[in-house]
Amino acid sequence: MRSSHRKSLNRIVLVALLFAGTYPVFGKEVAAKSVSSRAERRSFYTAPPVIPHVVHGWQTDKTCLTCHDQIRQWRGATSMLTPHPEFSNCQQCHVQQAAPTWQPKSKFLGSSWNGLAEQEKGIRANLVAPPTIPHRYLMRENCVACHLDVHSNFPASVEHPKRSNCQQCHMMPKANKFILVPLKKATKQTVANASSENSGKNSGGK
Amino acid sequence: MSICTELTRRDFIVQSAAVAAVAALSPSLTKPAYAEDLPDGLAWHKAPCRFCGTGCGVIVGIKGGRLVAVQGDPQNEVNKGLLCAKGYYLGAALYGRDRLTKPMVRKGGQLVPVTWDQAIDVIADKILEDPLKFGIYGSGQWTVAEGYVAMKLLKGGMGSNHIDPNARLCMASAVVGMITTFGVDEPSGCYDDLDECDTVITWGNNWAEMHPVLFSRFIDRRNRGHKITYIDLGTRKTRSTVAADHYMEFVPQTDMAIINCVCYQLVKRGSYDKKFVSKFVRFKGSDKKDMTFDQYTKFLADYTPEKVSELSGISVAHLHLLADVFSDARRKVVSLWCMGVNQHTRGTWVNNLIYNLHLLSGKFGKPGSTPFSLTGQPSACGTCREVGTLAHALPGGRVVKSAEHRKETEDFWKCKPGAINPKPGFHTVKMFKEMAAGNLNGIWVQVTNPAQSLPNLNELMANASKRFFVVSDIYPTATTRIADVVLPSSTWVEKNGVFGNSERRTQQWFKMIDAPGQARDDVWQMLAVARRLYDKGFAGMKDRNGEFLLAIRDDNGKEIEAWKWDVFSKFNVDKVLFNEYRQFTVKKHKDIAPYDVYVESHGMRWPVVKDEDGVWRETKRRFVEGEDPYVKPGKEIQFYMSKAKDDKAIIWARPYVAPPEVPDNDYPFWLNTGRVLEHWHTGTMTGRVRELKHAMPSAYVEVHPEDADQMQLEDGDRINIISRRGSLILPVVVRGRGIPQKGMVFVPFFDETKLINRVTLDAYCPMSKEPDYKKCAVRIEKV
Ligand code: SF4
Repeated sequence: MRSSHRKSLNRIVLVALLFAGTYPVFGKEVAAKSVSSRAERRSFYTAPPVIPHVVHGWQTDKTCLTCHDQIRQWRGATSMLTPHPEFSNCQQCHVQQAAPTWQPKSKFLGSSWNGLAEQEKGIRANLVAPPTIPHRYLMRENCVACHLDVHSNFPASVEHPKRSNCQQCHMMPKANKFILVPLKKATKQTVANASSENSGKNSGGK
Repeated sequence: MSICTELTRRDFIVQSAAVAAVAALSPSLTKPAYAEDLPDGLAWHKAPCRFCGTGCGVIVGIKGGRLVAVQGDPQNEVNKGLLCAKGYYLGAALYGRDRLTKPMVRKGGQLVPVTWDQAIDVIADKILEDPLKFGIYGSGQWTVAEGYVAMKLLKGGMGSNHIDPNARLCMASAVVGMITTFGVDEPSGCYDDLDECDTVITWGNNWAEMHPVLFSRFIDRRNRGHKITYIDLGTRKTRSTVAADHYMEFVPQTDMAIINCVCYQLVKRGSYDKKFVSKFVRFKGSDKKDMTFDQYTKFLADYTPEKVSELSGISVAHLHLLADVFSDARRKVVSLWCMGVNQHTRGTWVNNLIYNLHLLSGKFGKPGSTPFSLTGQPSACGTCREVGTLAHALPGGRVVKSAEHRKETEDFWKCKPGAINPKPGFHTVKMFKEMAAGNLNGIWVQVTNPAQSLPNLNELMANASKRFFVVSDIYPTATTRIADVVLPSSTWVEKNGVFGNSERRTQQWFKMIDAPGQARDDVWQMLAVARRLYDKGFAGMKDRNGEFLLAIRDDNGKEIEAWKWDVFSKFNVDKVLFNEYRQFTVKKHKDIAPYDVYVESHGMRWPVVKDEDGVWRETKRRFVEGEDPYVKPGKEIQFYMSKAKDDKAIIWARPYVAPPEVPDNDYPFWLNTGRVLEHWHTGTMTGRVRELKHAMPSAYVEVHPEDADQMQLEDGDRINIISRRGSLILPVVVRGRGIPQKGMVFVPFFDETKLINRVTLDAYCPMSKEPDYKKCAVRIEKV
């Protein structure tokens, strides 16, 4: 039983190695570039990306989707596909970073904000195993919205875009620190404090 | 130039369906998977957002003693993981370079750093000059405990009622509207009604920018294929309007006539809900006398569609359409409103009128059918309305005028009998006018910025630099600039807190990080001043047993020295105060659960009552049998707090009344003011967030395209906006994010360098005393 198990495992590894060339194995560079291009447009790791262009005046709820309902390339720019078209009040979360020219600039007084940094690439169990998903995907359930090779500054693209059932192979690792802790766990320690000595103060990250 | 269309929206839908299918199979994908250990010291904790009254739940990431990330909380029913831009940048809002970190006192015209001890002493001495002439001006951003402590200090100890919150400027009309109609404050419905309705009507409300997460709750449903009709009644086209099936633009103030006109049609057609009206409703005239249905019908006779169309500018066809909606017994209608209705010189009446419409049509108390008054601030409900931090109120829906209510409060607080003054204090506008006139010695301002947000600033803040202001805040503001004592405060997750949102949801959070420098909690500041007054022998700070009125006791009943910061900061004073305040909430059936219950929940909607099996159970819809534990079996709907004790709500005959200032030859334009999505109120916090500041750097004035054509104005041209009270020069935008009606200009008030409230009017609703920021007369001149 045990030996036959090992045999079949060997066979799988062998077959996998044969196919290894077909699948991209991101090197450090690719991962670093992808991470830094994400960081460019996010104040912190879980922030929604900002809008890198001016948004002019009066909008309808379809204005953003005229470009962002598909991936379009135009004058060297590539539009991102929205992974969540059911939310069409886009500027509720995504804010422009270049106000229109008629609007006077005003002085920013400075900030010591230092948000959670961009995270590393996913982990592979072995050389040819599919990498795990290194980020949470609330509002980003459509993986190929980002992981498509048209985004030149975001090279973590998938080479098998037709296989759209991504989570079939790419898993969320169990101890993923970006996935939310359940309430009980999030407050357990503090509750214990509160009832034992009524201090209730949670020292947070200290 | 190639257009890459590898993935179209259709592919996307197919694909996301596949993803959804996988998600449905694997529990770890539908629910968050939970991290056992957080390898690099990152920890996540729950809190409510500290900005608007929607009350979204967030999860706050803390690492190395600093706040590093914010995510929407998918387990919180309010927002289900979604936030708006302000919510995402909650963390960054705490880290502006110019956070206030030291107490300061003005000496020789300059604010100079002092010790906490010295600052507390200056305040105590000023109060002792004449405790009856010292006011507190608070906020709908006060936590429950902050508002409660301020009330106990002032009303229980100082002998006057001169306490009012900035919520007077936003929610007072909603409060009085509800009390006059239902006998008790706060909405019957809840956000779940947005998930069930088939029609949404907004009355002068731009929820796409002001309550964005609720707007998206509706947009999301619609984009997923639900059929929902959205009717937007307004005076300015907004981002909300673009989602509307019908936009009905009316002349300011004629909302009163429009609603009466819809009621007129329901009665005329005989399509009102006869059963509902006969069982649950009474009629009254504005003289407070009872009316018969016939008398009410006569009152409505003035409001024919033809007449009202002429007055309001809404077409007869649209007025018919509104009547069709309310006539159709199968339709489930949610009405939403906020500042357009409340900031109105007849704000209370317009609130009554919307209730009239829903009561008459029976669109009340059923899933998906409710009149729902939205709140502006995160705890305008929890603190200002429930704790009652208003000039006339006492905690738990009580009023100072009632001897019974005063006695109950004195007993809870153990103050000396008669300690509470029966005379209501100064409401906001009056408080600042009395201050300007020198009839108050001082005002302590917490968590708000009146020198920017009050109306008619030139008058209300006149002589401000000569008056004594204490200001507790986290950044320099227009108000700290004129203050005599500036106290650096901790904010949001730098302290423990509890907020109550628009839908009666009470939400708790713990302190997660330390405040910078010497910044300290507002609750502590009040306790420290109270104790100093006690130490100086001020009798008001002693209870009937001669003990400290604001004593904080541990679980064993032993008093702790909470006025000492090192004691306070190691103890959960919030919990003690919350549980003490709890006893006030039962009288008006606004029951809240013990503190620890909220620790374990994502907020619960009151009344929260313990089941027979020991479970604390929240209430989605008040006054509704089967949902509200206080409704007796068989009653269906029971307005159990009705003044006449007949369990009925009141339909009030409220006539149209013209506004106090209308455009004329000298001042031919309406001025309307409001918020923008990116900034919270006066922008003192959101202006310190790089992304939000870049997105929305400065104020502007929106002009209607035809008016702009006529005056040859283009984007960026500068115009002077002049009223009888003041003026302000701003750049024009013609097709900006909003388009005001012809003859109206709109200006946002977030920009501290461009104070539009120098121009606005301080006329207020005679019942709620809430001023009208939405309409006054101005002229505009190109500069
Ligand atoms: S500001 Fe309001 S809508 Fe935006 S995240 Fe905060 S509570 Fe939610």
